[in-house]
Amino acid sequence: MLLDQGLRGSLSPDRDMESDWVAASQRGDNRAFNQLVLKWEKPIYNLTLRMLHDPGEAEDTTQEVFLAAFRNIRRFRKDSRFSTWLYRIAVNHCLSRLRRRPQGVHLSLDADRPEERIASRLPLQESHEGEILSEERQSRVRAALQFLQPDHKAVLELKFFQDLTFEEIAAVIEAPVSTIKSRLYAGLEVMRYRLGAFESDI
Amino acid sequence: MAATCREFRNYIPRAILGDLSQEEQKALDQHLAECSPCNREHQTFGNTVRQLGSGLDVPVPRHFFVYPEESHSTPWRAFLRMSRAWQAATATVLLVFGFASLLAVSRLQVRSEDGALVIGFGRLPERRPPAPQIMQVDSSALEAKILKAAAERSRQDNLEFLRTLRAEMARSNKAIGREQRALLEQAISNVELRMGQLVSTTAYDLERKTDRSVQDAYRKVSLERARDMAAVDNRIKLLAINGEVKSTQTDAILATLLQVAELRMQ
Repeated sequence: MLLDQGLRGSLSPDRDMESDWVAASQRGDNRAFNQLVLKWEKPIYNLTLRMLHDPGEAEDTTQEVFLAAFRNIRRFRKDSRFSTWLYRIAVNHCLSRLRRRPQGVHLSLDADRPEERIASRLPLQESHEGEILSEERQSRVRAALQFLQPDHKAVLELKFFQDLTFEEIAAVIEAPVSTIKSRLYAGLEVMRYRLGAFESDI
Repeated sequence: MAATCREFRNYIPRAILGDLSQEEQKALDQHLAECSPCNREHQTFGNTVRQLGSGLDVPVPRHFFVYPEESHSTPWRAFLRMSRAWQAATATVLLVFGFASLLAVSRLQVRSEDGALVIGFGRLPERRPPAPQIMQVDSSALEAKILKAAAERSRQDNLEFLRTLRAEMARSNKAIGREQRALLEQAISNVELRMGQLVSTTAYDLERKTDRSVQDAYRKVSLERARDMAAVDNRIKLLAINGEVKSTQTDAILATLLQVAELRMQ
């Protein structure tokens, strides 16, 4: 499996329910909105975690993203997908947080320490055999991601972790596909130097 | 590294993401079969992308539910979110507005005036009851004047008539006999008598008319008095409306009025 095909809202009955939830949320029903939260919190939390590389900040940002989404849900137009809209909010929140950071923090020597904190917070049932190896690899990937420019990191995140097409990424970032591709290949080049030396252990 | 290799190196990441045309892909495949460094590079890139894509999402540390009280922004929360300068400005505006409205409400007076509602801020201009216009009627002088005018008029008419009659008699004196002359004298005296009666009747009528006009004058005066009383009543009512403090003032005024009235009675 090249890309994670987890909960991505690709099944049509699921999408129908999603549009019902969106419609109810637009009428101010926060229980319907919490159904959307339940569906999207894992990808959004992981997006913020990889973008920000800090579990506490990722948690705060994820909450901010859902709160902003609920406050602005009336402005969401049905002509785009809910996920595209939500990703846009999440990416913009992460980018503005990264911009507020003092320069060079994402290259700090302590970059790996937050990962240890995540590992210690993992529920036991997730840490079955094989997961520990995988967790080590993911930790490496997340550390390598921190060497990217925020704009490039966002594109890589949406492409490789959120499994979006170039067109979908272009809709989230609101930039032409050619820009998306050039950022992606530039980012990939950096990742190849950071990760290419390690053998894939899949 | 050969020029062709450099060109194919650019193809590698695009190939891995499926972003090459069929021709480009074919050319790359051919090159990779022949060139082992490029092949290794291709594998390295594949490795990198596999590592990126293999990331399993970590579970969420908690749920990120949104609650209605969070979602609804109250004015107080909006105020707290403002910058210091805006908070100060808003507070000042609110204070000034609140003080002004308090002032306006406390000094607001509503009362009915001539059947219309009058709303005023602060002290209303004192409403003065119209000054009683008491008509000074000297009834006896009026009566004398009227009688004098009536008498004058009757006397002149009378004299005029008699003069005409006497002139007529003088002209016809030569033509009439003694008896006829006696009859005429008689007729003139009758006329004189009737005229006298007429004058006295007129005088009586005039007297009655005068009486009536004097009565009208009195009625008018008493009507004015009643209106004044009503104005005073209104004023007392208004004082009562204007609150507890003023109602004690009204009580004091009433008490004074009663005392004055009792003094008059004695």
